Parts: sequence; structure tokens; C-alpha cells
Amino acid sequence: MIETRKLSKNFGELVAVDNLDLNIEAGDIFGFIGPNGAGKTTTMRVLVTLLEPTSGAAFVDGLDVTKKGREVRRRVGYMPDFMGVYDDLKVFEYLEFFAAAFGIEYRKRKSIVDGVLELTDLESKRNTAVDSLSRGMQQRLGLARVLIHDPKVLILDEPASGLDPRARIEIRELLRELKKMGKTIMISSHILSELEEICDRVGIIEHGRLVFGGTLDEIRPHLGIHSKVRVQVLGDEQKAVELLAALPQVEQVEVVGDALSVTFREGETTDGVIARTLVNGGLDLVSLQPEQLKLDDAFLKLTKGIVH
Amino acid sequence: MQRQAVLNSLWHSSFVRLTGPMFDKELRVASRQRRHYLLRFGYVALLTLFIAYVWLTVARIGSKGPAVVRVSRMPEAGKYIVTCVVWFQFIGGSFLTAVMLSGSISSEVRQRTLDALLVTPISGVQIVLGKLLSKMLQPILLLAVSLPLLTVVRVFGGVPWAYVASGLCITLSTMVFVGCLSVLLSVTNRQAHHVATTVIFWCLVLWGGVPLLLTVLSAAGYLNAAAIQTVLMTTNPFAVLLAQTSTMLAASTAGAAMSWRFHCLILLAAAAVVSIVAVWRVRRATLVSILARAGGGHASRSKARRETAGRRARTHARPWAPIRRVKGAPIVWKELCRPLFPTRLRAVVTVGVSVVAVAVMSAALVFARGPVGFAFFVLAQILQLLFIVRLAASAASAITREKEARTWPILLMTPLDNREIVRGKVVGVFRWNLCLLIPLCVLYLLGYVLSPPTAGDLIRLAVSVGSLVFGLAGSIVFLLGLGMYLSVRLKTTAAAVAATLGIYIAPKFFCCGGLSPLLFWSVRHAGPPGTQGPLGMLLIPLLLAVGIATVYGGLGWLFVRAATGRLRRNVFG
Repeated sequence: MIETRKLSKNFGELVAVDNLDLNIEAGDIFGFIGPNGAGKTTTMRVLVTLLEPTSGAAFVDGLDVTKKGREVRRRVGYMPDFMGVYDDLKVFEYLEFFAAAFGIEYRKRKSIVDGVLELTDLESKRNTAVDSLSRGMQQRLGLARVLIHDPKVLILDEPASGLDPRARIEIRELLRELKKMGKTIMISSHILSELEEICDRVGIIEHGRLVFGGTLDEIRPHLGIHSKVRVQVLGDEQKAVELLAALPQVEQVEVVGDALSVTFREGETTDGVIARTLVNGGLDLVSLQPEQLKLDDAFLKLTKGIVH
Repeated sequence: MQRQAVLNSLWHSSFVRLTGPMFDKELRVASRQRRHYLLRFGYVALLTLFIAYVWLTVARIGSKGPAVVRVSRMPEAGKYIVTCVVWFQFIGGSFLTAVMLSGSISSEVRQRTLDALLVTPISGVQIVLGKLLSKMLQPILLLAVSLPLLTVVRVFGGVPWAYVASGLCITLSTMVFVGCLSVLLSVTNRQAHHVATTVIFWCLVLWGGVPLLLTVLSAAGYLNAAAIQTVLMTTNPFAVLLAQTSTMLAASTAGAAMSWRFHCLILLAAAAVVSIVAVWRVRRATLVSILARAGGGHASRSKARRETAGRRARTHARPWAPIRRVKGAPIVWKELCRPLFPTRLRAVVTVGVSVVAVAVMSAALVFARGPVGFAFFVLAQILQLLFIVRLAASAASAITREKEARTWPILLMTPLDNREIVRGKVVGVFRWNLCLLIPLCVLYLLGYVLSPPTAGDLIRLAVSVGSLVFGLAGSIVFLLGLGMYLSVRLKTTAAAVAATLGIYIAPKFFCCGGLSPLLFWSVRHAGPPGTQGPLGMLLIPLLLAVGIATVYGGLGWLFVRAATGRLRRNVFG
């Protein structure tokens, strides 16, 4: 649904996006992650036809963004990182204005706007001036605007920034709802834990280059990270270390606080053998918990955090 | 030596204390902006070209006669140049100051940096004075760069230093007053172009409308003419500069030698009062803005403040207004959605006072059997100036407003193509300004209808009306096109409005008001019938107006095309 081929965008000497290759399948939620100044927003702006690429190509729904700009804009809903609002309009008027700009017929507009207001839970704000809405409400309004022409693709630049936890959860639920409706969503965010929960795939970008693209499960082997489990035993901790270190699947055993951190050799992920070994060794097993690789950890390992 | 150093240090520390870090910050920012350098270069280039043109014209005319005749013409050229430059600086400087300071506080409110400033130890005085002085430095520098050229002209002779000095002082004090007014209005108004047009409106009312009304009333015998003259000579910079110019041209040293100094003091005192009001309002306005954003609740300290904030928020929300459905072209609809006045009260007061003033003036003239038609014509001139400024400001802000509000990328993300957007903006701006264009046409019509008819007048009337219509139409198309183009090219409303007005006014001014409707009035009333020469002579102004209007209209159309072509370039620049 979204594809870039060797996409580059320079601003004078500065290379904001450097030979970027992306491929996002239809119906996916794609998390676009990177440090500040990595080139996320620039990539998004190129995809939504607001910037011309310096070289390379970008396609949305098979349409070249540089040649079929108008058609691309009909298919894409873009929510920028900072959404400006018109001073003199009310919520309904604001949405109807964009509905008209997208060429929706007059007689259909009211029902469409009402439907979008209901979906984004903004019905009570129908008659409120746009500039008097709170930040969270304005973000919702931004989403409502993006949905007004029922686009196939949603490109959302930091939609949850500056929102309180409740508003963030609501936006996350809304995105899940939109995925069920078959929308392809490209979303950038600094709140990685949230992306982790809703994204099918992630792309990590630094210095305009994609340093990783794939599912979260694919990150572990990509980074060469071995599986780990956290074990708590009752009784002789030293004996447990010796028992586990003797296992051929185990590479390393460390004591971390009141627990043991067991690292498997590459390709070994089974932890049944741990429990069996400890119980057979006469030790009481209190807990055994696989250590999850967090998106934050992957992000830190993959990026150096140096901004342009 | 040491005493001097101590005095310098004291002065510097008191100045810094007065303006705070705001002055330094603004200067630093201004020094990085290319447009200021371009403005200064453009201004000096314009003045140089103008002086060279006049000098060459005089030299060429004189070359046919002996050298002594040629030399004798130089003082005349000097007078002409200095008069033009002084008046241009006076009018242009006032416009420029109104526009350049129009976003001084409102830009901070819009970018939400004023909140941060007000929680620092920086006082309201420092904010207002820092902004005022730093922003005024640019127009003052323009005045300063013209001084060497005026000195060169002084070599021509015929121009007393007193005139140059008085012209500069009157211009400077007017600019300070206009600047203070602009800062005051920018405290409460978020739109820079609203501030600029409101300041110019009040200046036109104060220095154009009120004197006209007073003059009419005194001519009708209702007011003492001497008293009116005194009031005008102390409060009205136009009247004072006009008196100075007349004195200089008549080569007379008699007359109001002292009055201009007193007038400057009065104007500076008024500016100080306006500044004090701005200082008083700046914190309050910020609080109101914060509370309005917070929905009128969170940070309020008193019920009164909460209510003010709520009222302010409601002003923007206009809950009394029903939801307006989008009909027709969405961009045109959006442009027409902008309220003509910020509040209903202001609309009623402005329209009411204007109508009453015109009615009083008309009644006085009718009873005194005065020149009602001419009075309407002068009134139409004042309104035309306001219309031009408003049209230029709204055209130049049509897109910069979107850039400043960061709605521009959102609008460009719609499938509307460049032509639809620009056409919508042009039509919307034109229709939004019809509220001034229609009364303007009515005033001109009344001016023509109410002037006493003379035999054989019809042709002159037709020529005059035709010239006026073509001139106005050309100006409208030019301003719409130029404003739209500069709005696409420039980032801020203040810069776009200043450039549009500057480019429009400068050539007109230095061509001696070639398109001024007063010229057409003089065509209409040029001597008794039968003495005006052949018909061809009468048609010259009409052909000239049509020619110039065609050029202006063509340029406007080209600018619209250029704006369409550049619409999506440098969207985030």
C-alpha cells in the first residue's frame, strides 16, 4: 500500500532521508520510530505530497506521489505533528469545510460529519469553536478530519504527543477500530510502548536510513539478542547456578538481586528444561519468567541518538 | 573622560533596565532576517533613482538654454525632490510602522511564548518597550539612510534645513505614535493584518475624517475657524507638515515656526499614554489568552478574571451564531467566514458613528450651501485609502495567515489544485472587501451627483468617471495579484502586507499620484465650459488611466499566475 524506493530528500547540505526503502502492506499498522531529526516527518511529508523528493520514488496505493499528487491526496489522510486550527470556525463547520474541499456532495456532508463526530466521540463539541478546544480534543478533531473522506491510508505524525494517559488510550482504541475497518496506518510516535501494543510492523530510522524494518519478533535475531529467563528459587542459590550453568543450552547464568538471569545459547529458547533441572536438583522453584525484549531496548540498541 | 564613561555606563544600564533582554533578542532576530537588508537596499535604490530621474529631467530641459538658466532651475528641482521624499517618508513610514509592529505582541501570544515570558522577571514595561523600540528601529533606519541623499539634494539649493528637520521630526513622532497604537492593538488582537488595518483606520479617522468634519462645520459657521486651525496644527501631523511644506514652497519664514515642535511633543505625549495602556493590558491579555485556552477554568485567581476569560473564549466561539453550512467553493466560503469586526458592539459603533458623521457633515453643508459634492469626493478619497489598505492587507495575509496558524499543510493535503485554491482566495478576499467598495462607489456617486451641473459637462463627467473606474479596477486587480504572490512567497503577514503596500504606494507616489481620483475631479471641474480645449485633450487622462489600469491589471494577473505556480514550493520554509 505504501512503498518507497531509494527515497532521498535533501535540504541543502542536510540529508534528511537517505535512500530509504519502505514497504507497508495493506491493512497493517506500521510504527515509524526514530530519534528527533531522524527523518520520520520528512518521509511522511514526501508520502503525502507536501514535499518533493530529491531522488528516488514513493508510491501510495500504487500511485507515484510526485506524478499523481491529487489522486494520492484523495487516498491519504494526513495528521501533522502540530495541527493548526482555524480561529473562526466551529467543530462542525471545520469538518464540513474539509468535506467540501474533498469534493463530498452537499447533501451527504451532514451525515458524514455526524458519523465522524460520533466515531471520534466529539458529538458534544459540535457547536464549539475549534480554537477553544483542549489539546486532546484538537487531536481528536485532527483524526476526525483525517477520516472525513474515508481514506485508505492514514499517515499520523505523533498523534498522541502531549495527550494525557486517558486520551492516549482512547486514541489507541480508535486506531484499533480503524484497523478493523481495513485502513492502512503509518504512525510515528515517541511513546514506544504504545506502538508495541498496536503495531503489526515497525520501522526504525536514523540519519534518514532505515536501520530495521519488520515485526517485533524479528528484532531479536536481527540484533543477535539471545533469549533470557528470570528464575527465582527458594534455598541454595549457588547450587541453582551450578545446575543451570552445566546445561548445554545455557550460555550464562547471572545473579541479579534475589533472582537468576539465565541466557540461552543462540537458537535455544526452551525454558522447560530449567524448571525440570531445578526440581530434579531438589530446589523449590518460586517463579520462572521469560524476559521480553522491549521496543525501547531495541530502539536504544539500534540507534545512537545523534540528531542532525 | 571618566565622568563621560560613568555617564555612558549609567545611560546604558538604565536603557537596558527599561527595555530588558527583549530588545537584544529582537535585534538579534532582526539582524538574521534578509528582508530588512533588502528593504533598506530597495529604499535607497528607489530614492537614488528618483533623484537621478528628476535631476536628469531638469538638466535636459535646461540644456536648451544658457548655463545660468540651467543652474537657476536646480533649486526648483531640489524643492521638488525634498518635498516628495519628506512626504513619501511621512506616509510610507507611518504605514510601514503600523504594519511592522502589528504582530509584535500577537505573534508572541500566537506562538504561546508570551506565557513563558511573563513567568520570568521581565516586566510588562520591558516587553512593550523592548518590542516597540526594536521593531521601530527598522523604519527609523530607513529614515536615517535617506539623510545622506537629502544632504546631496541640499547642494541644489532652495531647501532650508529647517524644513528637512521639521519633516523628519514630524515623521518620527507620527511613527512613534502609530507604533505605540499598533503595539496596543496587537496586545488584544491575534491577527496582524487586523491590527494593521485597524491602526490605519483610526489614523484616517483621526487625521482625515475628523478634520474634514470639523472643517465643514466651521465653514458652515457652527465652529470657530481659528480654534479648529489651532487644534489641527497641534494634533494633526498632516496639517502641520502641509503648513511646513507650503511655507517652504512659498519661501517664507513666517508662520508656524514653533508649532511643529509643540505638535511633536503632543504626539509623543499621546504615544506615551498609549504605551502605558499597552503595558497595563499586556499581562491581563496574556492571562485571558491562557484561560481562554484552558476553557476558562484552571488557572484563574478570581471570579472576575474567570468571567473575562470565559467572555473572551465565547467571543471567539460566537455561540449566538448558528452553524454555517458550506455552500459553493469551500475556499471562498472559508474566506467569507471571517468576521468583518471582532465583536458585534464594535461593528455597531463603527458603522453607527460613520453614518452619523457623514449625516452631520452633509446636513451642515446643505444648510450652508457648501460644496457637498466635493466633500463627498474627499470623504471617498479617505475611504478609498482605507479600502486599498484593507484589500492589500487581506490579500497579502490570505496565505501567510494559514502559514502562521499552521493550517497551510492541512489545506494543501486536500485534492484542491493550486488554481482552485488561489482563485478561491482571490474571489474570497475581493468579496470580503465589498463592504468597503460598495460604500466607496456610493460616495463617489454622491460626489458626482451632488456637484452643481454645468452646461456641456457631460463629456467631462464621463471622462472623469471612466478614469476613476478604470483606475480603481486596475488597482484592485494589481493588489489582489501582488498580495497573493507575496503571501505565497513570504512567511509572515507583516512582511507580506508591508511589501504589498510598499510596492503599490511607492511608484504611485513618485509619479505624483498619477492615478489619484482627485486628478479626475480636477478634470471634471477644469475651468468653465468651453475653455477646456478640444475633446482630445480631455480624453488624454482617460486614455492614460485606461493604459495604466491595463498595465496594473496585467501585472496583477501575472502575479496571480506566479502565485499559482509557486503555491506548493517551500511549504514549510
